Amino acid sequence: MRRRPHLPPAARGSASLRLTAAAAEGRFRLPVCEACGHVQYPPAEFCRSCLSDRLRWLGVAPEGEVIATTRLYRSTSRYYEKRRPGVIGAVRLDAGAIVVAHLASGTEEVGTRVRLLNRLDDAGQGTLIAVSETQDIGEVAMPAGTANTEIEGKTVLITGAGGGIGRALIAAFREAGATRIYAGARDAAALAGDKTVQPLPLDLTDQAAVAALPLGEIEILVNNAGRNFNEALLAAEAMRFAEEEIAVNYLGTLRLIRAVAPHMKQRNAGLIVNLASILAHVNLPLMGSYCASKAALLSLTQGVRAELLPWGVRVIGVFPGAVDTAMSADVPPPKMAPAAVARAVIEAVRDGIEDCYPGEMAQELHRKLLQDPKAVERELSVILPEPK
Amino acid sequence: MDVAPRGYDGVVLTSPVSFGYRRYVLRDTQWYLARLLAACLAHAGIGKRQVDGLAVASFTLHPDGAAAMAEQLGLELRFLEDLDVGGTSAVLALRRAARAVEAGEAEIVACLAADVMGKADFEALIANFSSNARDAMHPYGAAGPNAVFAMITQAYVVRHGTRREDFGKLCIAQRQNALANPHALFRRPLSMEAYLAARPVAEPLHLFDCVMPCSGGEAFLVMREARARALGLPYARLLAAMERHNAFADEDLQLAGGWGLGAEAMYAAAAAGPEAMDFLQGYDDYPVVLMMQLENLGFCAAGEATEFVRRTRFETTGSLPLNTSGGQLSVGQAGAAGGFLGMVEGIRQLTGETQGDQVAAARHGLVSGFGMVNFRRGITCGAALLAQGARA
Repeated sequence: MRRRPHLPPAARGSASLRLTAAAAEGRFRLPVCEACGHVQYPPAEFCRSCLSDRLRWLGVAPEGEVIATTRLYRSTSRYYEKRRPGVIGAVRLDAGAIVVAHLASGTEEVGTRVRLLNRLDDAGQGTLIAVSETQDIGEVAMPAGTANTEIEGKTVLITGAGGGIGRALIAAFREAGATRIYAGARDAAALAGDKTVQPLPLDLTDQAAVAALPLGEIEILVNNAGRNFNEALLAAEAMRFAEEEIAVNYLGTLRLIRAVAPHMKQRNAGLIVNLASILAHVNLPLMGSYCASKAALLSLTQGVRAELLPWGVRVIGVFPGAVDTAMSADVPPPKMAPAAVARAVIEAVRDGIEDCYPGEMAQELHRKLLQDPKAVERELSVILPEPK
Repeated sequence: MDVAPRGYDGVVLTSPVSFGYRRYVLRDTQWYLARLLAACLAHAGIGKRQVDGLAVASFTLHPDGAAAMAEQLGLELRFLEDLDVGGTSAVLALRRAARAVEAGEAEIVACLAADVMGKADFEALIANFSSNARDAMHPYGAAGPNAVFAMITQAYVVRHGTRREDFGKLCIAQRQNALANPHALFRRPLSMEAYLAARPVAEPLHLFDCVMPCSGGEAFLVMREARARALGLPYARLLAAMERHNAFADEDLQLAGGWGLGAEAMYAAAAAGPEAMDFLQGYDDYPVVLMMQLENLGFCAAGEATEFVRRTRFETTGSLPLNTSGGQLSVGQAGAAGGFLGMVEGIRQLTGETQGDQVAAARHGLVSGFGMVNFRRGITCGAALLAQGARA
């Protein structure tokens, strides 16, 4: 087995891990004192100005000015020693704190107006990157340390490719520049192949079928296959449904990741995207067993992420609300378009996002779950199946 | 703050020891501290039982601290000080020891500093230096003080128009002072061409702007003047001292240390001003910090250090001898002992026990300390004003 790659220094205090949490969702947030308004940096669990411990992580304005820079030719970090020189600088935020950040090209001069991004680095921790206020982020070459976000030229396996989201994902990855897309589906014959897209018959419950995949070629694995019988946990036939949902949504995904991961570890590179659901975070009794299987997938996502992070492999969790597909035909609107989910996946990959909540429904539920998970549980519990 | 700090009455420093400057050594820090204490005792002609106070400064003593060292060294004590302030450790050890001696709470305090600092030790030290550095500097590949002081140097240069040659003049003068010091790791003259041509480390800092981590130790004893006289020892007298921590915390980047907040009162307590100083043992982890000290300690006006450096000679024969043993920039930085280097050299210059060049007729000298670089600044600073007592 190949050695683990060198990673950027990953140690953080518990307060700074919330910077990572914000970066995982692509947000720039800092702790702000509720009592006196001081923005704290480096992150702390109390206000360095008034000593209050009532701090809130808020989306402070990310704009500021570079006040000093240095080009580092030496580092005690093996990771940075191989990527020198790196340019870092002190930035005075308009919101009042001084931070040290990676400086993207074009921001190396003192006095440059910059915008700060909070991105996950290769160690999976939040790090600040200053980009020119006027530059389009898409145009900026991200400095060393930033998580690998390339899609162009990559080989992708998308499971559940026959469904609505699967087809949208194929189109989105093709547009983003993936050069080879394996489209796994139970009924692969129904999928149109071409130079880029190659349909593959795939039943995730079948170990032999998984082993027969071109596992070593896969650079990006998109676990999209899923079953949803839209049944409550105590419904008459639900035991069989629950078993099949778990068999595909959880065990099937695990089986495929276990097959692909050794090859990604060997390369010290790779990306795994797990399509879960916002209902992984809270149970909707109307489809209770599906939610439970997605909760298992969420837990799996966290576990394999931790196992693969030291090997340079990223794992992204995607948690959409209702999507307008055949599988969700019985779910009442509002439902988002499959193409919008696929677009969010591409953005998550490119922007180094780890937890992706596409669409208004997912965002709103996520926001409320952070505030008060119990209230959301009760809110969803009143939507019960009709007695049959 | 309104009560003027009192100077010191009859407190002296004696038995200066420098020991074991090496790039590579298979010894532990405890061994260094034992050698230092033994050398101090031998110099003073006293036994362990006469030592009733101990101050220890080290970064690499783990898992021991000062208390464990009392046990290791077999000392029975009534004064114990564990200093975790890096480059300010000597000034702080001295201030605490001096007041204890003055108050009769200790007779003889041994102030010891040592570190065993191989490459791995140095990396381990800076990897665990502080939570602010861990959270806000390390993730950018900027562990250790280089990056912070690169940015501070750049800000200083932008503000004051300092040229690399100006910083170079300080480094070259200190190298000249190091040539006769047997402990100095760098004992070849440094030319301006070589200084300017050195490889960049963290722009605008280049190789000769940075200290070399090494192993080594420094020590001295603090006692009452009457006791030193009774023992027939050469000594330097402590006239006044100051310390400031986390001064100017609201500044964006450090352009001044806290010395300026206490220098005037210190000089008043000593009844001697900067013009009376025959040398400055200034803290020199980076030349920009020396620029700040020249301003903050009153050798020149704020913002005028660049001009002052251009018109001043810093060799031992110059108008302001600076870091007369070569300083950390030429001797090497032995961890927390780097904070003792100037103090021990200051004692030697005043007692006439120098191992290298002697400043002619040195009667007063200033020793300063500075340290704990986490994020945006060095947090601690201090200074002590010494005067000639009894010469060897």
